Amino acid sequence: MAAFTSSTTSHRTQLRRAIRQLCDRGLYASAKWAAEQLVGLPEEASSAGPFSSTFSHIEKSKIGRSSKRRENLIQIGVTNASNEEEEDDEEDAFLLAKSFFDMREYRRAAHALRGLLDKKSFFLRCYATYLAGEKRKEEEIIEVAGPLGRSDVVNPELVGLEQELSLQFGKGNLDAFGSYLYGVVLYERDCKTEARAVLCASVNAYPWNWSAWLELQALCTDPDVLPTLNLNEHWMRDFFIASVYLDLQKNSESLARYRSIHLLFPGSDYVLAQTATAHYNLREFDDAEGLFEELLRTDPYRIEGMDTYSNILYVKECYAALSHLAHKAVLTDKYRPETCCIIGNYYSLKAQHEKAVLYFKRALKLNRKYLSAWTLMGHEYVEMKNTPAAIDAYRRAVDINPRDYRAWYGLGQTYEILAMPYYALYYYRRATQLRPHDARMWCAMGQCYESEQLSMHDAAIRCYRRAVSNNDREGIALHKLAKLHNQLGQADQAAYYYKENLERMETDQSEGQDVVEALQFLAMHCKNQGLLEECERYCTRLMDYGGKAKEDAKALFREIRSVQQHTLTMPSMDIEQFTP
Amino acid sequence: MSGHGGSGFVLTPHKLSMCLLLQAYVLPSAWSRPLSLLSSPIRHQLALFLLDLSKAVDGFLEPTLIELEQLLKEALGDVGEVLAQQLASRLLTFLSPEDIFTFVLSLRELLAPAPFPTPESGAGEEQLLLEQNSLLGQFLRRCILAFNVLSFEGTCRLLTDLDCYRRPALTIASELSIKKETFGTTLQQDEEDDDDLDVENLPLQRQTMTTSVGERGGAENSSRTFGVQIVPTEGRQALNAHEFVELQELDGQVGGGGVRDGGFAFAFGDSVNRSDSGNECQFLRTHGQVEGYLREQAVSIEKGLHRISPPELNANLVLIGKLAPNIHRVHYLEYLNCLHHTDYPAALTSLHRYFDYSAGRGAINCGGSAAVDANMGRFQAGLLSLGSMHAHFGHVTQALQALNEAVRIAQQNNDDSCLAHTLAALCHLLDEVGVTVDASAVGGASDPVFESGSGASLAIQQQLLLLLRRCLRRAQELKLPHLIAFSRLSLAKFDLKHVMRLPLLGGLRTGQQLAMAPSDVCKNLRLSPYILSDSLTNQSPIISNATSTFSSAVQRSNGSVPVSLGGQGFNFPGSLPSVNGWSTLPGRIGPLSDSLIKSAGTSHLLRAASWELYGSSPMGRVSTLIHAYCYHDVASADDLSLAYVKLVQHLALHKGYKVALSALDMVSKKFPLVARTRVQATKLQLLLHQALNRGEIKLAQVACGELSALASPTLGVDIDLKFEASFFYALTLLATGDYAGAAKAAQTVYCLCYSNDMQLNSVKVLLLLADIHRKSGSFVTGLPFALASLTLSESLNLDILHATAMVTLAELWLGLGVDHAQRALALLEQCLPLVLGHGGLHLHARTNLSMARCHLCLPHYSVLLEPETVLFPLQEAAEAFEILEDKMLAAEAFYLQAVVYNALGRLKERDAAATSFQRCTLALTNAKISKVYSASLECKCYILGQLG
Repeated sequence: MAAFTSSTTSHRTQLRRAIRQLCDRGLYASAKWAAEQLVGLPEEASSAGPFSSTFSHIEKSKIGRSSKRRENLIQIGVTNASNEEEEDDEEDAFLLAKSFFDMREYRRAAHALRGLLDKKSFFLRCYATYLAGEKRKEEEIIEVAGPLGRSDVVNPELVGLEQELSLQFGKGNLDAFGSYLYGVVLYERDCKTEARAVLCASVNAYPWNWSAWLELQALCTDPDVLPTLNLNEHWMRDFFIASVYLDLQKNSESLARYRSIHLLFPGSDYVLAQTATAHYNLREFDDAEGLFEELLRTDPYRIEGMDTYSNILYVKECYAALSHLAHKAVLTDKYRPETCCIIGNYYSLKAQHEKAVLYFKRALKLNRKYLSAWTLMGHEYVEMKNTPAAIDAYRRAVDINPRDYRAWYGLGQTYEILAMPYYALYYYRRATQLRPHDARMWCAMGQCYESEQLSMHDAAIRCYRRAVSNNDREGIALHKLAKLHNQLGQADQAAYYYKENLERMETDQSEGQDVVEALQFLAMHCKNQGLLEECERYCTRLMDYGGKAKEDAKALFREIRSVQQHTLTMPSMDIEQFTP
Repeated sequence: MSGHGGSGFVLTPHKLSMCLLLQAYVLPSAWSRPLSLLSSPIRHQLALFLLDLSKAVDGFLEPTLIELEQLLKEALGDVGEVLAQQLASRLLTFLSPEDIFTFVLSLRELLAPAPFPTPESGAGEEQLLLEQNSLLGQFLRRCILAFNVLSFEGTCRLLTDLDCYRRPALTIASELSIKKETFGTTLQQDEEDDDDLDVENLPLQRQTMTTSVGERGGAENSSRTFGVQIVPTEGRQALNAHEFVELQELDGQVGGGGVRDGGFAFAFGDSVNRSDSGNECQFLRTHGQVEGYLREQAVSIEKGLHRISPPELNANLVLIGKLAPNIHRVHYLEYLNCLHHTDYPAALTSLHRYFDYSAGRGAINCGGSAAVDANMGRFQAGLLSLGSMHAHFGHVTQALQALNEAVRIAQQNNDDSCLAHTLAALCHLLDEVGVTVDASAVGGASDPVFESGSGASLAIQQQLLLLLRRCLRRAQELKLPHLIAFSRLSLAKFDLKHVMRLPLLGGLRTGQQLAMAPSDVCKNLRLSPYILSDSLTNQSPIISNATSTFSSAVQRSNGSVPVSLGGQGFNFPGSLPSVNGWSTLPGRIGPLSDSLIKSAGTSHLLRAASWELYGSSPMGRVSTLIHAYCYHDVASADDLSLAYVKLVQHLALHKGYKVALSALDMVSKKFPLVARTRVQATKLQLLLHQALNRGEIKLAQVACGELSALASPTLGVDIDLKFEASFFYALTLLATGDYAGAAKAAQTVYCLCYSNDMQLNSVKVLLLLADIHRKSGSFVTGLPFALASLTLSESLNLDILHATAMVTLAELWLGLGVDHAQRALALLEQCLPLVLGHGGLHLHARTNLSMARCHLCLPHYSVLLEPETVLFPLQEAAEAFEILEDKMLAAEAFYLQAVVYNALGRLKERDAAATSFQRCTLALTNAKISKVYSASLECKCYILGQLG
């Protein structure tokens, strides 16, 4: 308990200091994130509960010591923080530049900072230059290729920045922020290994810069890379690891990590949102929905992550809730890609696909690399029967992020619609490679193999088996397996799978044609096997259903009766026959 | 977006230079002195140069200014140099968007429909104006149009690009004054104001960089110095050219913020900064040119020429992809590149990416009459390519599935030409690659043709035959000449290779002639070049109305099938990318020509094969030579390597293995990768022959193992190779003296032939069996085999094999005893004409040797009376065997020679023959052959020793 609260207090001081430092350097996203976590910490130690009074003196001494040590660490990490106060004349120029920067006049800010040699000014100048280049890049892309076009435009400042930063880096003059920017530049220049090393150095020297962690995460798309990173032990690292796991679709591991983080930061909206996303990825929609609702209660004007929430609402077909969410998002900020995505989802749910496409397109104009919008747009095009456009949209998503299994799956589906199951297999294979434990992918592959054009039943059966072993919730696989085995004349296996499916449907309490089919088959099978009692049981259940099934069941009953009567008389006949 | 037109025509600095040069060509008076007096031949030369430049497809990047200077110098010599310098100085005059604007406006004058008299022009000067619709006129108009639709940002961008492009202009322009003097004197024009740069003559009347050389610090125009603000504003005066260059150099070396104080605090569009990255200055040529470049690359990849190393090409492709993400063909090239370097996963990825992006949009240069809905157009083509890719990698089942799906989708989308191509691909698959027996069911399953009754039970060959006929019929219906030719050739080849065994086939008429019919082959062979030459010379009605469909078809299928099918034999001649829309290029007959010429070439190869089979190797050689000489520029690597291999085999037959092997080395240098298997297989075969002849059993065994390792392990695939391997295995066993083993192996080979319907090869196996029995000494059991092969080869019209069978038969008779020598001799004499005329060296020698032996055995023959009847053939045989390095038979020939000479009493010659015999024997014993042989040799040695 003591350690717990002490760590809380130290986290608090660290975060407070970090927010100020980050804001000073114009790293607002990180500052925002840090502030979110700061507020997410538990209440001050005074309300810590009954234990606090007894242990308070010990705690205090401990806190004192540990926080001092931490402060030392910070001093080492950000040495320039101390000497910056002394240079007053430079400070004036910095203040001017900073106000330019805040007004988004990046070139002016960089210009105002020229000649200033302290590290903070140096960083801000580089950062402003970088941002100016980014802004120009965005403008140029629009000029050259239009809002949705592909273009090769790169940030024109990257080369100069790289030269200057590498020079400083070589001299060892780069502080944690400088190396963060250097890492970003290297990443954009496609020097990934170097970027990784530099970013690792940055986060080790100054762990509170969440943007640096995010950049590092973007460089860890390969699960094998993560263990090779040289990262110091720090509580920020836990956030990072959890986030990387989420990104790599290791959802359960990620969830576990977030749960432990949640103990430290019980009020953090960020952790809540991430947990909800993990649940969503695990297709635990109810949990995710609850979390998102909670999130919206505490932070009603939040837009980040709400696109995921809208996906959940879409899947659950909550028209009203989705429209409400969309309305709120529009009122908060109309020109956010997430907002457009939510509206698109709403229209999609209302089957107004043209409008949905319109909004997805708008989302993409706002953020060209908005992955889910590409995929969702692909879905809409599929609905509109515009397969080439759908393929194009999916393909764009895949090319932006080859690990987007939804887009691969969408491509497969589109080709399947075009009656090209063999061609579609390639895409499904890619999707299954990314989500080997997702039953839906296996089912899709199975369907391809099963299709009348390919009719490779063995392969289909193997796929469906994989689906079953990966907890196929919809029960498609079991039913298909049963049917396939039945087709192939393997009655025993068919019976096994029908039984399994029946059990599944009983626990789910779902009714439908599948149940009837299973019962009919099982009744016939049992009769053929001579298991008359079991057959009778199935027939009785069949009697609950109307129509042809009932008639068949009646006929079967009659048959059973007659067989039973025969068997009663048969033994005696046998004996008569075989006794000479 | 609209600024770039549909065809990707973007105004770039290079195009501005082109416009400037055009101006120099049309209106030299607008330029300064020496150039304003260009003679008209030079001006025409310049026009040709510009025309060439605007159509070039040898690269995809526009030349930089330096390269342009180089090109000008090469094309026009001194004039070019001066032109380049003038151009450079003119480029430096573009300082603001307004300058470009005025310039482009002035370009319109060049296009005026009527002569446009300018006051400055000399009296005798010819006034040239660009025709609106000429190629250069079109180019100019496109430039003007591209500028007109440019937004202001676009103009700014152009200017920034220009800054980067023209940096070398400073150095070029500074040389100007010196060069100009010399040029001026050579031209012997009046030299009044030549010695300094005539700024006043420049139309824009602006102070240029060149003038500011030397007079530094013109403070009043510091804001307008060089392009957009390159110059840091703080504290510095305008830079002059030297300083600018220095600055650049410093940038390059120090690489630092130190020099440019404030680092990159320049205003936007800082060209110094941009140029450091290197690739900023690269501009893509027009889409048409890039596509042309890609096509060229595709052709060179498919021909296996490898002008560019694969990683280099890949880097180029990545660059194109970056510069122009909308050119999807790049992905196709990536696919081809991967395919030809057997990178399966990468090829698969690229293929899918290509068709995902290009599907439904139609080809960029879609040729008009696409009968197919543009929305659906190309998925079948994707499947077709996928199928041929799997075929290339030997994934037969996958290939079949993909092709079947392609057939279905093509039928569904009414894409007849794609269907025809797919059928052709299926034929190729069945024919060349071979299909496992169980897969054949899949092959027929979805095909409506096979659903009529017998279906999957048909043998692969019969399926193939039906497919080919269907393909031919469709091609004829669709009037696709290349496909007609392909099917005809395939049918001919089929007739060559197979004997129709079953009287009743699904689609065949009953009671048809079912045998190996050379007449059929000939008919098909003659027909195919007929239609080809027809289409080449006088665009027959079929062709002319087929052209449109064909080219669109090819574009749709998009070069996908072609060389990727590269198995053996010949290629699917259809839609090579080289065919797609070459129509734009001058000097070509038409879009069809390439593939058709290729088919014509292939028909020559087939003729060669048929000549070989039916017994005339010289004629075969001639046909092969025709192909190798006349079609080497259009033929696919596959065909070409086949032709070379055939020539090498011919060499081996007639000149011995040493010569052939050295020739083959040259061939393998020419075909490093693509035709690897075939060349390698041929090499191994030659080595095997040589080793067996020399008696190097170990080597033969190793080579045999390697040969069988070449074939794919899949059942039913690479049958030909497998046949060769097992055939040689039997031969090797025979050489070791393991007769039982050899006979067993030969029987297995026979079974293989039988089950795969390879009648031609089975004749060979029968002969081998006869040989085995003969060598094992049981001549009587060998007889039926020889007789069987004799009958078979006769009924199949295989003349050479027939002759060989006769010789074998004669040898067998001879072996049965002296009594049968007369009969054997009669047989030999019967086949002698054919052997002498067409047979190979080995057959030749064998016949000679046997004849000599026959004569020696004949009771009424006396050596003393007519020694030459024996000595001549023996001499011939010995020489031939020496060339072939067949030590064993050579030894026998020498032995007989020695014996005969001994009998004649010609001791000197006897000793020579005996020494030769000894040499051969020693070589053989060194090579350690079987005991039986060495025993018999020892015995002979002993006899000779007694004689000597």
